[in-house]
Amino acid sequence: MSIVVQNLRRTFGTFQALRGINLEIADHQLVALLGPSGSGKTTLLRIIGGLDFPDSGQGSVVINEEDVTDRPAAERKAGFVFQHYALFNHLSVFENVAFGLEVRPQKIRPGKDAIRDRVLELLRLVQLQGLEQRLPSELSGGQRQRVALARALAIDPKVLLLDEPFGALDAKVRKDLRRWLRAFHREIGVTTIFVTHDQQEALELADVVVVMNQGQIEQIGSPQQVYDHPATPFVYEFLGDVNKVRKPGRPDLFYVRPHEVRILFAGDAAAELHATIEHLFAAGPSARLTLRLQESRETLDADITRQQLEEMGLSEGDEVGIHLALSRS
Amino acid sequence: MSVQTRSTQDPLWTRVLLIGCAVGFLAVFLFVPLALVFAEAFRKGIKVYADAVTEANTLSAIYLTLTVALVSVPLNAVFGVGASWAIAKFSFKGKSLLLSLIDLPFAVSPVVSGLVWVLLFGARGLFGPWLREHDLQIIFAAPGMILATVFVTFPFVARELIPLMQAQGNDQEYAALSLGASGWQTFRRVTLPNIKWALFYGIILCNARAMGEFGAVSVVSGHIRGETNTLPLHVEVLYNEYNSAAAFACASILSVLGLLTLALKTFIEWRVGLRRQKH
Ligand SMILES: Nc1ncnc2c1ncn2[C@@H]1O[C@H](COP(=O)(O)OP(=O)(O)O)[C@@H](O)[C@H]1O
Ligand SMILES: [Mg+2]
Repeated sequence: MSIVVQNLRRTFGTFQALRGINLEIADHQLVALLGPSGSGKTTLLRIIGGLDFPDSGQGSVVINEEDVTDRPAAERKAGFVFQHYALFNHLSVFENVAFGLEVRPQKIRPGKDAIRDRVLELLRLVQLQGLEQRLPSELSGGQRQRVALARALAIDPKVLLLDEPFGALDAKVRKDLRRWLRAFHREIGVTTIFVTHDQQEALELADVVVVMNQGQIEQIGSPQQVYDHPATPFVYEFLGDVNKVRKPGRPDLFYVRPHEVRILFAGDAAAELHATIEHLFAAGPSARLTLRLQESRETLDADITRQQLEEMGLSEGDEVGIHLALSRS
Repeated sequence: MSVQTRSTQDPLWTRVLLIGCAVGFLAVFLFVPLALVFAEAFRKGIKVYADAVTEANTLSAIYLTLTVALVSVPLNAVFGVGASWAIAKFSFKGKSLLLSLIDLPFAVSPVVSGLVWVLLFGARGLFGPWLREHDLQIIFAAPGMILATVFVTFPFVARELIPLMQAQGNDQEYAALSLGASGWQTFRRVTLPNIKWALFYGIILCNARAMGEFGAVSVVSGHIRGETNTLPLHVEVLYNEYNSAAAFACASILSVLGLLTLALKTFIEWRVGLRRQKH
């Protein structure tokens, strides 16, 4: 289902956590809310889910063409997965997943058998069959995460809201679960927003990346758009490595990604700048050079292929020429 | 763990001395007096004990004590849960003031806690004339004693629950709400199970104090034998009349109550310990 957020503001005391958020999300999309800690991602997600509300009269939330701004969470059918899962510790995995069905008013509550079938089906979907009698405390982090997801899915949510879904997991599990979530989203097709402060995660997983900073949206776009065409200096710096350099005789600052720095022999006529290789690190198919610019004494990172490294026979202390392949200011 | 490392580091004599001191102190100040209470109660034989315990005024004191506890403990349980809920789960102006107010009964002397009610509802109190016109008696009657007891014992439940509920946060409640649960369902199915042992613990402590309270109740009671004496007040009356066998017999009932409280408290701590190990 589509989600439209307009002019949303949220103030805590005197602190403006959200300062005028406008966002449109089309049906079936997997959207990443990306931004540094404290930028207002969780607050925005909670307001969309009905767990928090905008300042009175300041903004609206529309889900599936229906204005839900003042509706409580229970009426929104938004599946919410909390950063630390918030599983019910005293209930088994089965009871956790069944919760959303059990609390329905009698008229629309499914029968015992129907609930059982649905819960087991969901547990199969998140690959936790056989664990239904365990308590949350008897599960690993990744398993808890998937119980939380199954629990949220039990209410047939119109949208899925995930707050830092992989935040508390170790790197390996994180990677597996990331891939799994991508496939999972393709399978169920529910409009999904997930919060993350990890740019890699956002770029790899999302159809649309929403970059937030200090309670505002800096840019909305596909991963490629936000990475290749950052709208603001903040986005440039937040997404991927970036060098800030000045060319000689020009006052403006250039943003250059390490792979956009072309390394030439020191005597090459195309060289715009000259530098010394301070540090060289080669692992995998590419090599990372840390360069000290001769003109301004600033440092600059450059990524080149291993092949180029070997062909040019570079080592630490060498002098090289530099051409900035794709310079923007 | 830390106990083990300590015990292997400290020399034996230090340990023996420290443990000996602790046990000796407990023996002198706790076990001996407790044992004396029972010894004194049964000194003149079981018959005298039974007579003292079943005497009309004693029975009336037991009845009044139970009534006072039965009314004030549930009131304070409800109040304690409500106040802890408000303090732990919401932020609002005057929160720290409310926190201090909850501790007030611990801070002021029980006599003052009793006098407050006399000032409000006594014959010459603020509402005294109005009460007399309507033929209502609060002071020197059960309602006053209940008020005084409620006031003195209201911190017990809240004090147990607030730190726990603050530590638990409200994510689980929010999860329940987003899954479609109503406020009441959320409380019943999520909040209550999470606090039940702490709540039970608070209620036991509250009950022990409600049945054992002396000072505040003494001020509002009026000491009418067979009518407005609770068990602790009754013990004092008997003792002042040099009827020590009966006084100690009644005191032994209160002591049994104390031991029962202790046993329940230990049981709860053991249960909670088990749960911690499992988690
Ligand atoms: N309930 C609250 N009370 C006061 N300040 C809050 C509250 N919730 C969030 N904030 C503040 O709002 C800002 C944004 O918070 P949050 O949305 O959690 O950021 P993020 O999820 O991007 O890290 C933070 O500075 C945080 O301290
Ligand atoms: Mg957050």
